[in-house]
Amino acid sequence: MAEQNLKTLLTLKNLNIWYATERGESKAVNGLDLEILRGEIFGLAGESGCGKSTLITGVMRLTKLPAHVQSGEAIFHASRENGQEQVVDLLKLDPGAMRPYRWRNISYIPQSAMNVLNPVLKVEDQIADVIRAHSSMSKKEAQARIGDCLEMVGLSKKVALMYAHELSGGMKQRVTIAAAIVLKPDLLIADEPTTALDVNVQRVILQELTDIRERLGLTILYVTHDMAVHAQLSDRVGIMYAGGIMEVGKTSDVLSEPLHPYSQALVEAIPDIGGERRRIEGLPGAVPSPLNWPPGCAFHPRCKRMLPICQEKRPDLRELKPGRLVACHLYQ
Amino acid sequence: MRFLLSCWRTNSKFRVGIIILAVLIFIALIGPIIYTPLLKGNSPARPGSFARWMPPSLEHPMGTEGLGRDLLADYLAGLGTSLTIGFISGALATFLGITVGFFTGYKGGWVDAILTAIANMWMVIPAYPVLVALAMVMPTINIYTMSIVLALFSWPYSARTIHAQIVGMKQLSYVEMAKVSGQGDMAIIFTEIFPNLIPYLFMGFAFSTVGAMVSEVGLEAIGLGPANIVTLGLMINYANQWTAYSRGLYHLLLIPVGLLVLIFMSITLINRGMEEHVNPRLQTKTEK
Amino acid sequence: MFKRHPLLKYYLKKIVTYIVTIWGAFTIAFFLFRLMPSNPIDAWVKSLERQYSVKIDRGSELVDYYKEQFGLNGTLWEQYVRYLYNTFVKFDLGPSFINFPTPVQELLLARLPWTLALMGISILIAWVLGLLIGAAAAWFRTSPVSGWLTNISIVLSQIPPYLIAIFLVLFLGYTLKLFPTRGAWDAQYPVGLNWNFIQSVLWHSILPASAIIITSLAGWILSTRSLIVTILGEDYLMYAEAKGLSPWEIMTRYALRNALLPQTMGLALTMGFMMSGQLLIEMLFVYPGLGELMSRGIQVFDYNTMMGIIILSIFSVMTASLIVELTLPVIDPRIRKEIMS
Repeated sequence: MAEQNLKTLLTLKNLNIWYATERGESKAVNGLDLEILRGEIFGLAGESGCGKSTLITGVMRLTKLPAHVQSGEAIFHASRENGQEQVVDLLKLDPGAMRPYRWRNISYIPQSAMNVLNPVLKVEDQIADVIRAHSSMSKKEAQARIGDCLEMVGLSKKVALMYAHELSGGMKQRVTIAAAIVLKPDLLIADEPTTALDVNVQRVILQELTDIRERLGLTILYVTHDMAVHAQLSDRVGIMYAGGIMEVGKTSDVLSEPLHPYSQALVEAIPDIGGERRRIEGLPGAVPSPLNWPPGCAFHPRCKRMLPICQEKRPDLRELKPGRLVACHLYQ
Repeated sequence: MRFLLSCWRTNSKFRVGIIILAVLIFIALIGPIIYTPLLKGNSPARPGSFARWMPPSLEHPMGTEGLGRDLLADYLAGLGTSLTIGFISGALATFLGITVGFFTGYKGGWVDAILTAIANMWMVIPAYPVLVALAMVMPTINIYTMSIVLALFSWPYSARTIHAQIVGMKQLSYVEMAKVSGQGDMAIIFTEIFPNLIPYLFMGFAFSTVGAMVSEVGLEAIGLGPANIVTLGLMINYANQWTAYSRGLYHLLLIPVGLLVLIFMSITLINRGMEEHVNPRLQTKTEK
Repeated sequence: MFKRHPLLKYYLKKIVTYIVTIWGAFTIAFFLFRLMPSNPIDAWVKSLERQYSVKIDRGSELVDYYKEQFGLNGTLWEQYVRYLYNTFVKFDLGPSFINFPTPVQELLLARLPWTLALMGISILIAWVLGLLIGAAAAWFRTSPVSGWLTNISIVLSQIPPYLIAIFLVLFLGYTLKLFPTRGAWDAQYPVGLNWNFIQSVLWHSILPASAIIITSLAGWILSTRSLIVTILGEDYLMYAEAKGLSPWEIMTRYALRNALLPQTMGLALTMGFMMSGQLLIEMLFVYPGLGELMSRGIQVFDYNTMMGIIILSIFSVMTASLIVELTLPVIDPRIRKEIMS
């Protein structure tokens, strides 16, 4: 992939997504900034509970009460059929106005494919309905396209005529991938799609995703806690902690030379691919509660290199060198 | 108990139902204190105790009906007996249902198959005609025999609910654990399974109580109950006898029907409240 | 063979259960009635004695003759075997007592259309409305209107139809005099396929039908709502929304469609249960259906008529549930899979 002059696809600015709870607002996504470039695979990493999934539902406008988007922007550069680009803030759209962007521009591979397929509809019908909703393809064309996509993810065309319960977990996950690429969207969001699968299937599916990206030129936002997966797949990676981005950079750079103390702990904990998740060692204390993030830098209570300022002021995400951003007072 | 308390705290339907029912029970309990002096030694159901069709007065606050029975006394007494029949029959049906449901659900196998088959056969027989026939041939029926008869026709429903719950629970890991660790059947039933069934027992009880009262009122309303015991159903029957519709004697009809509706409503609200507490998805307001 | 054809095994099992349950329920009902301390002849003889102040010899030839006519001769066991044979082999339910000597099956056939039409149409109307309203209540479950609708339904669903019927008769029938309250048609019109008669039948059915519709509608609203609320929480609904399908499509093809299956089964079973008639409703409105026939039969302890209606009811309930159980694996791939494994 050419590394230079990539255009921006999605910019998140100061995004806040909170959950209203009985004990106050739980700030799952807390002042998050992020930029995703057209054509890349962007890896979003972070422990469970850091707000990854909340962030995704927010961008896709699927946030359900008690969660709500408190503030922020999600500037999206949607490609239109005439080849033009249309810039839109996804978070400002009415629910109805969001619909044309779904799947045509932003599609999604869910975390667990076990229950996302309607048990009483055939696979084909569940992909065809999205084609019907967003394009003017004829029924024949749609069927052909569905067959192609199924083959692209290593399934037989016959799967189109099967029901969800006739498929294995890996096959269901592949069906969701096929469904996600059927309209060649600008952005494909994948939410830990391989966690539920065994290691071999996982490896094959990752390879297929890489191939699909090459063939269709998609942009993929790939979310997983598994740094080893990012090492294999992602062009750039963002490290998320406590509802904010701590560090962003080319995957190889971040892995070889992590800057943020939290990234350093994460990288140290990388197991062999597919190996057991190891506890992040050398990190005292537990992940803080989103109800009450620590003041200043949210990471400071667990940080080995804490400065006095860390308790008071939240560090901005700053560009240290081209393409390398970090939110840490050590570098400011 | 703890279950009922937490229902009370979290569910408004449950609270409203309990309050209505408590008020009704309270009225039924203090009923005798009010109506004993009114009746001057007569029994509530005895015809000809007083003059006929008396207008409301201090002595007879709601007046009398066509056979000289004091209406207020009859409503109070009727409320009490109707509730009693409902509760006795509901408790009996629940007890029968639990016993059978427990036994079949936990043991499984042939016993289960046979008892379930019998319960199914019992359930497809329309209960109401049989009840009517029974009521006709049992001239000495009293509220207890009536409760038993009503319970005989509603136990399969609670048996089935309990059965399903037990079968589901048997597969839960903690029950498996207890089995593996060598606990006896009885110990498992009482320590591991029973506590989790409590909500369903209460729901079964509420359901059977309503069911028994519906049948009871149905029987009485067409004049097939015991004529010597005043129930709300019998009061509806009075109203029909005096052709309350066409003569404009609406109170004869509206009071017993209203009381019954209140009873059904309160028990249903309590039941629904418990259900929502166990399964929050049912709630009317799931989101803010 | 069953190992290789699990579906065949399932079908056979259901059909055997069907036959055994019908037989069992028939047997229970038979003995329930015979063991009650009364029978039509005794009841009749007693009422004759009361009416004419005469003493009738219980062992007289006339009484014996009638006992034989009604299948009351011989031991209880003989009576049972004979009745079982007549019912299931000869399809003969015996002569009725209330309308002697018309056979019970003829009486039933004459009453059946009234009950079928009144109950069947009311239940169907309630079902369709309940499905639509329940779906809307689930879809807009956060709105106060939906909350109130649900609460009202909860209360209505448990009130017996005859109490509702009493209210309807009182207010719409007697006070406002809007609708007729007795019978199924006006006697002034000839029975047949003429417009006046049909109009009169429809007009007379409004009150009894509303009583049935109101209570069962509440039940359908509640069950549909809770089914759809559950479905709306499923992953595949969120996925459908992410796919950008229109709300209408999500509601119909994803939520309603998946709720339709259990609700259709419920409808079939309710239809089966309607055969015993809403006895009280039919009595209250003097409606010439099976329920009203039943009440007349019970008054003189007419075994054959009572048993006839009960058998018809058992049969229709069981047949409805058999149909449901046999078609389920055909229409629901999940259940087919469960049976196959």
